[in-house]
Amino acid sequence: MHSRALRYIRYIFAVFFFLLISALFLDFRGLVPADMHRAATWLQFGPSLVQFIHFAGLFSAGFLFIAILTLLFGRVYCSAICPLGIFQDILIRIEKWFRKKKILRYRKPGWWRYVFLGMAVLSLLVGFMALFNLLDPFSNFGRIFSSLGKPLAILINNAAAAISEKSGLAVINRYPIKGFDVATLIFPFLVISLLIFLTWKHGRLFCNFICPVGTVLGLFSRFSLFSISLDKTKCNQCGKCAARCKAGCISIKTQEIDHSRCVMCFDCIGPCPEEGVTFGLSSFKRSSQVATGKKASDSRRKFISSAFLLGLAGRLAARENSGDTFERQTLIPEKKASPVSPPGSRSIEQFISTCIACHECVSACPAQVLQPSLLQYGLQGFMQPHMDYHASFCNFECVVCSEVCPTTAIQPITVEEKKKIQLGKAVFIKDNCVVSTFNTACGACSEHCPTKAVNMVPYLDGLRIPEVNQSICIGCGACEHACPTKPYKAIFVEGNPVHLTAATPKEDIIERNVEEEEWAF
Amino acid sequence: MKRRDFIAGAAAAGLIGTGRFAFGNIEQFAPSAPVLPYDLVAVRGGEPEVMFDKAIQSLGGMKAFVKKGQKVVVKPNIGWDSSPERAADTNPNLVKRIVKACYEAGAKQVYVFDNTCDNWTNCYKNSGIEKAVKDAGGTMVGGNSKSYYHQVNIPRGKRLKQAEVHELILDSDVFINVPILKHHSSSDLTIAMKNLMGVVWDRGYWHRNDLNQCIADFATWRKPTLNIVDAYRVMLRNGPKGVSASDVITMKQLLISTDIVAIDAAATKIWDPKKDPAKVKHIALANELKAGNMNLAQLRINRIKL
Repeated sequence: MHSRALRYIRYIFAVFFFLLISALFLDFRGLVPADMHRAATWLQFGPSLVQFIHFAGLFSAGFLFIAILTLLFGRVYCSAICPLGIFQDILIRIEKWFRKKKILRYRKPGWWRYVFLGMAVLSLLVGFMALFNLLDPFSNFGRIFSSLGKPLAILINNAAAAISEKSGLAVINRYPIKGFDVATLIFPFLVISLLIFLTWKHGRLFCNFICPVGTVLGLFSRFSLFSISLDKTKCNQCGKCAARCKAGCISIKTQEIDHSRCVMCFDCIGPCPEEGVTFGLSSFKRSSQVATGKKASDSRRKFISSAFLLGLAGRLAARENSGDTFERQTLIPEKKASPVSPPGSRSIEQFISTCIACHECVSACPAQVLQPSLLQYGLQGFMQPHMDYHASFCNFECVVCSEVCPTTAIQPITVEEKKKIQLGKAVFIKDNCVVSTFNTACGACSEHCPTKAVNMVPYLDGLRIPEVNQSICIGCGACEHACPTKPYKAIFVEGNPVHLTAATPKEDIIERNVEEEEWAF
Repeated sequence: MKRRDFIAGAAAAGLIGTGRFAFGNIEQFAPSAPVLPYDLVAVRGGEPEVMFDKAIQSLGGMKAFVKKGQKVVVKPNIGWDSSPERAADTNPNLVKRIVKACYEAGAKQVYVFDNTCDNWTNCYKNSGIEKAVKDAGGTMVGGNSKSYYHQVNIPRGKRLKQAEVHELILDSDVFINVPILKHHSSSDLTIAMKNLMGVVWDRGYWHRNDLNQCIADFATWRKPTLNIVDAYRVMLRNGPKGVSASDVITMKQLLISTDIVAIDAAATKIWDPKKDPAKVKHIALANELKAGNMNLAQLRINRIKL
């Protein structure tokens, strides 16, 4: 097939999947229907595999489809379906504007990729997700677009809104950014920096060095039915193909293509003056590739490990320093023994062993209560989302996160089910409360409570003070979020390590016949 | 409100004088002195829109309040993600009729917003108010982002000296306050004065600094052109959000007044005929600050039974 046609086919798929997956993470207005999310991520290898391991079913067979696709056509996934792969191609395109023509070079295949693959597999097998999550391309893409892309999209929207209001149209609404925690941005920021560095220096090295999905698909693509081949009889070793090879997998010296690293971009076919590079049925006569790559340089290794450590260290500077010198401060810290995991995740144990920390739910959550964690779940759950009640609270009528989760770490639930799931229990700290410290009315917690588990009961001087009935509390965090005290709240939600079922609030009938009443004034 | 912004704002206001931060004064929203036949109109026994029509007619029609070409802002209670039957938000049929009446009186544009407690898009949608306003030709505006709010001074306030107020309130010629009467866990009842908490950004400040005093203080800032209390369905307990439909009874009543304290006093009597309005703390405090008159015996009241 003509090389240009092959590339256009790749462009069409790449643009489609990139826009589709990006939309899931940038959509701050909730325009993408929640039930479309799972269909859109069905083909994504990482989430699909995790879902298959834990909740096996037809709906999680996307990764099998990709494996078959790779056996047929090589790693087309990496250039046409994987959002992080396409994102790197976009970076490479942008980088071209800023420099002279880049000549890419052949690199010997490295064995480091198998170390990363081994780490990812081990991580999946023992359910210690943090390692897998830091390597998986979908997770990384999600975190970059959710943590950095979405706020940017909101800022652009708000600027547009300001302009539209100036012209008197007021057609665009402004949106807030809640719970913006700089420490959680450090990791995605480091990854995008790494990607810019790697694409600038070495093209798609990430995909052949770090990415466990790329390495796994590389095992299949060695034996793919169709592949790109270099005709030794035509090749004059001019090196034009290798100069365009983003994967650095064409060796001019030996006139070999390392199919385990080829990402099927088809960029090498056109430049060959002898028409010696072709895409077609594989010959199956390849000499086996020798895996004798040299060690990854020390500096690179340091860079990656420091990225990880910085992400953790950033936590220290995380919480906002919101002291109020004019208003009295509360003194008793909220001591949460357990974090709160989202409704539908059933238990923290199940959640942290199945969540790939892609932050699709973080982007989709209309309340913005789901926020990336740092060490709330422990090292194992690094970056997995938790319910951040300082940022917001969980909408009583909403199950969006359970509809969008690509691994079903947050399992589908109905709104009626959700209203009964107890994520945690409200705990009242009387000595922080406005009512007991100032003797003035408050009750913001009780106002927001959807079940009146937090109720106002008589207190001194005709005042009323909160009282918690934990049996009907669902742990939505509305009370904690609404509580106005600083820096510590007077009411907070203690997470349930295993989600429980809340009791139903009582409903007495009100006896009153208004029609028989006279005017009261 | 961030403390630093607050201090910076306060300092700047002190340096420059009140001119820069005060957007007008308390009397701006008062109608251009139409002599009204009644201080308060109470209607019962009809659908919300019918009761409103009767009440406004008896005050000389909407034309007495809205002049041709004016910009109008209507502020219902849209605080909760809740259906009209649950009576946590103002009745959408009433809001629709009010928006229509404003246009019929010659309004150039009618805007509706609230700084909601639950997720704002869900509140706007599920309360039925978004559709009602659009059907009547009005515009729904967000109240969810801090950038909409600008600082004002409240010279007569005791605890609340400054607040950040939605720009629609600052820019409009006419301000119609349309609360729903409800039980409230913090302030006893929520009616017209408490509804104004939805035009400011930082409600936490009010909660930390004597909620009832702050509600009364804010009532001294500006008088809404009109207050219209929806008491068609009334939440008698578990307010302001409500737990189930069993918290609500149908009362089929409506009040209109230009006096925000008087209308709150009258609504208190609807909520419970035996309740003394002076026992609702923010009503007594606002009466003390002369934001209005809670003594119903001193008022000219038109009572209409349908």
